Amino acid sequence: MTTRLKTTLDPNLYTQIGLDSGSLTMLGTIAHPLGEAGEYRGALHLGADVKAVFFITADSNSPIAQATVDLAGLEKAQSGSSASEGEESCGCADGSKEGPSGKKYTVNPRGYVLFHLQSGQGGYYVHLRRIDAAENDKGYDTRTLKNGDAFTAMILRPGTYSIKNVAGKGAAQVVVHYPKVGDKPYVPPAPVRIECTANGFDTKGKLELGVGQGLVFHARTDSRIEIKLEKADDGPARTDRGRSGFRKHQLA
Amino acid sequence: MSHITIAASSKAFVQLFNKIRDNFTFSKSDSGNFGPFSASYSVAMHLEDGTIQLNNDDTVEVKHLKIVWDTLKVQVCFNLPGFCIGGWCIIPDPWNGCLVGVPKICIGGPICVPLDLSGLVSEVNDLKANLNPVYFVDPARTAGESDLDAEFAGHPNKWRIFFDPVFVHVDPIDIPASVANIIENIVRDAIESMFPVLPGFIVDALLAAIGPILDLVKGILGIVGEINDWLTDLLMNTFDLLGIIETAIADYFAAKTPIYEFEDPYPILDAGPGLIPVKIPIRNLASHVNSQEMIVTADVG
Repeated sequence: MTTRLKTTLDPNLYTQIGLDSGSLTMLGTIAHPLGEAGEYRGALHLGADVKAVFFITADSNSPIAQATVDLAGLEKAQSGSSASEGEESCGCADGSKEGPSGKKYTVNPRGYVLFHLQSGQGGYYVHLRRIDAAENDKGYDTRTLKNGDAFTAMILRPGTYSIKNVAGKGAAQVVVHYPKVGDKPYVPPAPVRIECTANGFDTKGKLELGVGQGLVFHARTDSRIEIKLEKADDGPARTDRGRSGFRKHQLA
Repeated sequence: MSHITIAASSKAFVQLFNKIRDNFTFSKSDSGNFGPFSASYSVAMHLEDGTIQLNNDDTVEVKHLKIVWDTLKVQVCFNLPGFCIGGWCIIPDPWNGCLVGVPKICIGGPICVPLDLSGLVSEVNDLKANLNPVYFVDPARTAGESDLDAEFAGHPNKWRIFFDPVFVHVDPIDIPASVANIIENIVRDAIESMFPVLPGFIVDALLAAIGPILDLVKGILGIVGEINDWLTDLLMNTFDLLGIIETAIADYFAAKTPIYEFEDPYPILDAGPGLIPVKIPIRNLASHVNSQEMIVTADVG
């Protein structure tokens, strides 16, 4: 008699090893403060393609401190719509019902917009720009974290990783330890916070993390964080693992 | 004084009882949702053994009648919380906890634990009964049909003597404590075989996050004591299987299968060439027991 766990596990959680703040996947998020009140238009990019557009109202009267934007959900919702026609085609959207529409978010300008993926392969970056921005204002691009941004990373694959700020200074090494089954359920410890300054990371040397423990990079200067697996840790050899086939469980 | 008196010794009575006991079968399945978990069962059983005692107070007592569970399958389904990542704070609010947090991603899902406990044996601890004669009119008999026609058609009326329980007491199933190991193994197998290609580190992370599997299962199901006791309680009391079986046994003996039956009119001589059978009508049939025998009395007429 066998039974199966019908899990909600997305394979992208364990097949995508390594992270890049300029190419968001399920294990990474970016929190970005808008700073100024106004209307913003966001474009979700996958490579050169615009996969979706969305609008953010930064309203000083709004009590909302966090607008959570699920990038995978945006793409899913707008796939097949005219969103992919490109930035230029719908940058003019004035909220009229006839124009290309995107999901709308509201947040206090002192709050943050959180870009993340609830599911899927990802690889996105976001371009955000005030609707009334001057022509030469390029707006904000998540590929370059700005002062005040936070990039979070969660690492599930045990091993040794290198961390680098490829847009500035800063390098470190992280060791993610292999999980051990203990007497009590394992709960990932509190996240480790790293400041990305013009002089590099405020944390030097080797960091030690548990599986699923968070890393938060607080950008104080232009940054792009890349996390690469250097050496995997596969834990103890388990020859008994894999398909168990039919097994009769008998009462003793 | 009755016209007819028939007696069966206690040994003969035991044979009569054994015959109806062996014909008893019962099966049932049911399911229910109990909030944090759901459960279903499928059972089939028959009776064996038992000691029979005839009493002078006109009762028959059966003890240690075995219930053999030919099928006893239980399935308990619940949501395995698994392992959640994220959910922590990115930008703390010095005054009110957290300003911006990472959404949670959870690895886990619904799991069903099928348990096959077939082959277990429990007991009808005590069954006390009177003998109850019941006159049976065959429903196949048409209005105006004579006794002779009914006999030829194979549906004569009958006197039936039922073993009519006054009480039936079934002991709960004694599920061995080793069922806990089975549950633990099934849950672990389910996690380990989630996907054939699931990397070992995810499986180990999941197992580490779950911790001791039995503690987790007990927590989800709200089990305070031992799992086997909880399972017994689930089947016997929550699903009321104990009451259902007691009723089924009582109903079977009291109304479904007589311990003995007589045709009415009772055939004295079979039909012969050119002769119709000779039958005598039986009235006022009564049945009693004492410590030695079963006695059936009746009048002719």
